Amino acid sequence: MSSVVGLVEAMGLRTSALWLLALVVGALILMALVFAAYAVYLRIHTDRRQRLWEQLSARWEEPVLLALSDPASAPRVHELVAPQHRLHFVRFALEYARRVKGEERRVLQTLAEPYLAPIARRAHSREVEVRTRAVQTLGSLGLPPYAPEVVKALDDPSPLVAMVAARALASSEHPEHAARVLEHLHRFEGWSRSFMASMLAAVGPAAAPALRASFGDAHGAPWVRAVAAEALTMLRDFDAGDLAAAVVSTEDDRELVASALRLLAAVGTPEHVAAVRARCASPDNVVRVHALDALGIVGEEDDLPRLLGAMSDPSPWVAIHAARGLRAAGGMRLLRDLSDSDHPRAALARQVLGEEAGT
Amino acid sequence: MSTLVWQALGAFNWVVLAYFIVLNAVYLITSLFAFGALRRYARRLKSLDLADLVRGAGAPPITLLAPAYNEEATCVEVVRSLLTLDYPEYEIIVVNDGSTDRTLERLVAEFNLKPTARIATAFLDTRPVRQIYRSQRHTNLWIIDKENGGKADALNAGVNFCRTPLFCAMDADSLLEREALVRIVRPFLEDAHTVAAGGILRIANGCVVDHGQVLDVRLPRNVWARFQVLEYLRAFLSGRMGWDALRATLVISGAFGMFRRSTVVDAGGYATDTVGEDMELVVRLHRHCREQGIPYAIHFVPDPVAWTECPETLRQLARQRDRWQRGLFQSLTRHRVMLMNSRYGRAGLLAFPYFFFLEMLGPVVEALGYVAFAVAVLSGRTDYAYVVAFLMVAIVLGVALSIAAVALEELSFRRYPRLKDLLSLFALALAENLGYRQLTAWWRVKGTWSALRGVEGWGRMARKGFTLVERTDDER
Repeated sequence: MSSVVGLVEAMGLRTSALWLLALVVGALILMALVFAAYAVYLRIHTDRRQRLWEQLSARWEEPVLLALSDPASAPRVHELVAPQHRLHFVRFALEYARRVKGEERRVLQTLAEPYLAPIARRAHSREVEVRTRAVQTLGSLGLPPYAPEVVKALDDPSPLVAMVAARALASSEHPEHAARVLEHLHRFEGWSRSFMASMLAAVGPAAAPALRASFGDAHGAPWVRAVAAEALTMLRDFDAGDLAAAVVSTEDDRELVASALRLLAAVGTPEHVAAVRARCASPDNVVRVHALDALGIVGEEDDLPRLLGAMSDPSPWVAIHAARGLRAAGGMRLLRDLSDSDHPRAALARQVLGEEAGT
Repeated sequence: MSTLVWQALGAFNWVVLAYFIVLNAVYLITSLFAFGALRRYARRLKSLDLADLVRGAGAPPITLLAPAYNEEATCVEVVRSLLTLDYPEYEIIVVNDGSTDRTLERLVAEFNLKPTARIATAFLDTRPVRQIYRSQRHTNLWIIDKENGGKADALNAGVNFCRTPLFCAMDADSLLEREALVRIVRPFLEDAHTVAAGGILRIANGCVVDHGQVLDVRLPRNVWARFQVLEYLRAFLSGRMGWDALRATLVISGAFGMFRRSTVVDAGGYATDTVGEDMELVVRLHRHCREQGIPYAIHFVPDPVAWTECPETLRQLARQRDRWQRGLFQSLTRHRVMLMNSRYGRAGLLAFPYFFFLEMLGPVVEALGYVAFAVAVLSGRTDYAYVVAFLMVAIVLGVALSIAAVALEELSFRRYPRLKDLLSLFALALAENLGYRQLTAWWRVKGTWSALRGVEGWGRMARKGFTLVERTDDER
């Protein structure tokens, strides 16, 4: 290092280099100060904007509430929206729309509709977040007139925009779009499966035929089929029982089989019990867990020893589900006997009995 | 001989200057990345009402693990706050780690706890569990009473009894905001490969707390606590947000982090032979997933907040910093194979070298640099330009970066609503570099020395308890 210093000194550059450094750092400091000044400006600006928002909200709140209870008074609300505050009003309506459904939602849509054209243009913005916000607004306040825009957003290059579109379209008020959402489900493979399933289940029973078709499609991606199975479970779609039993008997994918077993636990009948029993001996812990859950519900009295035996499974998870299955199948006496014994899983039996008692 | 010494000192001064330039350049880069990431995040929050989606359905059940050791002053308030969290399905497991005060008794009395059977679902090594209790009033509240084994041991005991896919590790002296779980679970919903996510810690000293929730956010009156507010803003908003934007998160605070239970169990749980078990676990998760070829992601999320009480005396602060530095040293030296190793991706190539050279070894260079600078100035063997450059790089640029951190807070979350507090934070950014920063560098040097000597143990921080809202008898 000293030789470097010596070289720099020998070249007569040391002082200049230091001053240059000081200048660069000085510029950075200036930048930070500008940043700080901007922060203070932003605080003042945001406070002012907040005050305006509060004033506008106060002005619109009562007439909007009145319009919700008496749709005939809706035109009066439009008189209170100045041209420069139209987008504020859309935001106001959007916040309300999140909290209401049915007829009240339709009133809000009527109130916001005249102001949605600029929002539709924003759905083509180059900025992802602007497009997302626009699609969310159109999805909440612009369906059905702006449905084509929202459906188109399912193909947006941004997964976030596509997800917001899917969320808007997967609604019980617009079940006609459920099939389109299912067609695009592969785009959301990174998302949590149960999250996607709950989104699809929100459409309601009207989505069941499309979900069954997707679940039963042997050429479909296992992830998509598993999501469809989970959604059918949430809908308790009894028509899907035979399909689930077939999937349990023939498929290999762990998540798909586990989802089908969960579906059987919800809608299965004694006719499906053979498929479930076969999976109770699966070498895969996850499959065994769900098979025992299902067996506890759709199984028969003959299955109690099988469930009791599974309480000795090396996996504590399997043992817990076997115990709960035993309880669900009415094997309380077996559980009580086990809890009083010196069996290694006696504590588990006590735990599950305690859960039954709510302690 | 004398000339040689002066030459060495002169050379060292250049090393120190280079160190400060590199350190501040990294801070600047992470701040810039953080700026972009925070803007995107704020817009994203507006676009996707995730809280609504999570509440609707599909939210994975969560277990909150709160290890408690002698927390009688705050434990009841904290558990009350946990019981009011806004999340569809969660369990709370408080692990009483052999407290010698009345922590357990207070919890038993307050929440009507009764011994209950519950079997383990994992078998990480821990000190023996004495009893498991369940609240008769709140059926999702459990207490594990075990022999003392330290925080990591207590967390491992909690993991053993956790039966949800995700768990949230936290301190029993931290308060989670009501929406904290809804917010921190987001990366797990958006990316099924997420194995861990950390939230932001904020300082509760000076804030008004009611029913376990921070009602009024204020700067603390205590000057040491005020400096820590600024430090936390810089560490989380500039640092961790920036590292997250670079996809190289290497630290999740032990006071508030969410983990995928199965991955943590597969990786061996928390290490009990380090005082930096939080950082060690995250580094090990990177290593485990990379070595096993498991696709994974580790994130920092800037808006789920845990409020924590920070030390208010120099002695406690010194102990805390000593412990943090030891934890850092132990984590990094244990996993030094990751240093500049492309096998470990950005964590090994970017974050690990930063923490190793600038956070672990840096304080030694920094502290010696101040001494060398003073000697050079007092002996008259340096020129004016060098003095200006040193002060600019070591002090003024530090001030600028702290100001940038405050600005980031203002641009994003604005948790300090009073303009007076904002201006105080700017003033603190200046004052911090005139003594406090040098003091922390010294404590960290001592921490490094303690780590080299193999010093163990946590040290104890006496809790004052939170500032509760005043109530009349009727209101109570």
